[in-house]
Amino acid sequence: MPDRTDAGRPMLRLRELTKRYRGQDRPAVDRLSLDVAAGELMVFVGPSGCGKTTTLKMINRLVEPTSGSIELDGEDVTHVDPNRLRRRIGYVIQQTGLLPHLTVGANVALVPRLLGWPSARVRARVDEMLELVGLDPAEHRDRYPRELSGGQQQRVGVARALAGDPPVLLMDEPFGATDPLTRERLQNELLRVQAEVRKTIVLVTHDIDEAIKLGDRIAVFGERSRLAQVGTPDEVLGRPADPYVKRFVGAGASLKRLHLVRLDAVPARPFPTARVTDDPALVRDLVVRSRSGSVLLLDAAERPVAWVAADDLTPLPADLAGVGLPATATLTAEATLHDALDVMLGTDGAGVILVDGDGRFRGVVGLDEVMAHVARLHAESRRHDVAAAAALGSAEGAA
Amino acid sequence: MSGGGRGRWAGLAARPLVVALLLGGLWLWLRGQELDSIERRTINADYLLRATREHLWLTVVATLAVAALALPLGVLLTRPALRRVAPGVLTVLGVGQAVPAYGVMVLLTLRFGVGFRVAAVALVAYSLLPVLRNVVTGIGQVDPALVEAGRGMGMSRAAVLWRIELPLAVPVVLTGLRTAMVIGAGVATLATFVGAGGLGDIIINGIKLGRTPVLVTGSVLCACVALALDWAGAVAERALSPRGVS
Ligand SMILES: Nc1ncnc2c1ncn2[C@@H]1O[C@H](COP(=O)(O)OP(=O)(O)OP(=O)(O)O)[C@@H](O)[C@H]1O
Ligand SMILES: [Mg+2]
Repeated sequence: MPDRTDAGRPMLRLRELTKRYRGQDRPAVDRLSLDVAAGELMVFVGPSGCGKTTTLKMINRLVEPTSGSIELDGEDVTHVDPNRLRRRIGYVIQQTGLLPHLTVGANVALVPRLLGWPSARVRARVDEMLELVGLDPAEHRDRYPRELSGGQQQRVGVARALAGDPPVLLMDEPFGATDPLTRERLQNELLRVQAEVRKTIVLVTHDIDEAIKLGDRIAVFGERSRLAQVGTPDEVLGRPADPYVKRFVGAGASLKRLHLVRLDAVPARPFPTARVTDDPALVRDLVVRSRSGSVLLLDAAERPVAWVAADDLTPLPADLAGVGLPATATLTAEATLHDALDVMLGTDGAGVILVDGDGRFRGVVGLDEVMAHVARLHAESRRHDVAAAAALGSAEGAA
Repeated sequence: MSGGGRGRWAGLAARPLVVALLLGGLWLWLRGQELDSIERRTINADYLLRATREHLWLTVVATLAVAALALPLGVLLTRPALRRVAPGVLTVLGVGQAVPAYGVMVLLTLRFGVGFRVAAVALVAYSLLPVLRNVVTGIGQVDPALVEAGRGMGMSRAAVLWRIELPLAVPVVLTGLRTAMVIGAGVATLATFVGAGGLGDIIINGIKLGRTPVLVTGSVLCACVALALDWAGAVAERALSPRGVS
């Protein structure tokens, strides 16, 4: 996995952060220490009431910490003026918090105006931000929030949080109130935007799947903000730190790990191919000789057309147009093994056809390739466990 | 919002029409009456205009004073520090509210004599509480998530008040003020008892002298003043309510 962060220097550094709400004997957040690297998307995940929101709000001091410290980009901000601090930290909440009496444009312009930007720059920034989140500025700038769909409102929320160009973005269950389809689209959108702007993001969710999909790292919270595990999605899925994390990650961790592997990480199998314009008799020879008993037909632009088997060629047709099983199950290398498995289980044929951006045939990924990769992941985890146990053993030996 | 513009102002034309019809009807009816000298002394343009003007002036001044008092008070009562005592304060004021406006006027007269100021103070005392209630409710119904969003973006408490809480409370506050003003237009007839004039003079004259045309004229004018003020209030509500909020 490539290092996507400025190595070393944390953008956010939480130390011994504690919050004790008035009238409660037990702290909601108890001595939490955590670093978030610059450019990293850190996801807080955990059951309801474990203190995720409280922790998030302590970062922008909507909740004042009882004790502990917060550093932003090397500066201790535990006691600086909160209003000034918050203009440097974008904030996105579940209900979007768009001001209903202001237009979309005015909502996005709020923080730049608070920062005292000249109005020409504010206007340009509003349009830039709306474009960034995929909303046509001319069409949406002058609308009121209630004239937008929930998903669009959520995008405006993100645009507004980014408008002041803050280094840090806090998002509290930003997609919690949207339907599954919109939610997935917004998640993809966020990943695309993040690839462009590379902010330090802390995102709260109680959906482990969302955490796995979005997070560079995941912080799994237990009761009272106990950090059960902090690690990459693959680490959390593959090597849960304790039974609690294992239970929280839930059944199907192996399946979920397939979300994290892109198709280009597994070797695609070469596959016998022929042109639709080829002589059917020659193609039949090819089919007979092939290991899987089928051949993939390509068109003139090398795009997959159909799977043909021996049955399709007896009696021998005059030409190959319209022959065989349509080859619809194509994916590009950006798709995940999970997508591939999903497609495989839903269609006939020898596997998923890997194509490039122009739809040209690149290879086939079958169940065998997926299983081989899963086996490799398991072996890796085991090796790691053995190494960890050995390290623990030697540490104990030294003590 | 040119499309919504028509809907925004629709229905506002009806009230001026009703007022015009009422006045026209009154005029026609009076023309058909044989007015004696006593009646003519009251029912003439100068006198009627003066009384109407006094009546309007008293109502409007009292309403503005109520707004000037209720807004800051309501804002105070909805600040985090005082939010918990707000219900108590409203209850205590509610006890005062139970005293009839006439009683308030008489009490004030005993202490301060008669005149416009006493009438105005009585009217203010009468409608302060309902308006204050609306201010507190109006600010209280603003979604806390919006306040938090504002704070989270780095707006100061004052900025959140001016740019989020108050604009979003405007519809509820104005509805309260408008209702208070219309009721006040009726209560202002009592001003005649503390020598503050107004349309109450005409009505009372009509009753005392047993002259029906005088009584009817006073009553119809009073109704017209109430309707006109209600209309003005509705116009203000449409004009001042934030857009984007229905
Ligand atoms: N303003 C508050 N006053 C008192 N207690 C609070 C306050 N906010 C939160 N708590 C308590 O602190 C604990 C942590 O709450 P928090 O909102 O941080 O949890 P969370 O992890 O965000 O939960 P969820 O997933 O339900 O949003 C809870 O027990 C909650 O009841
Ligand atoms: Mg929460």
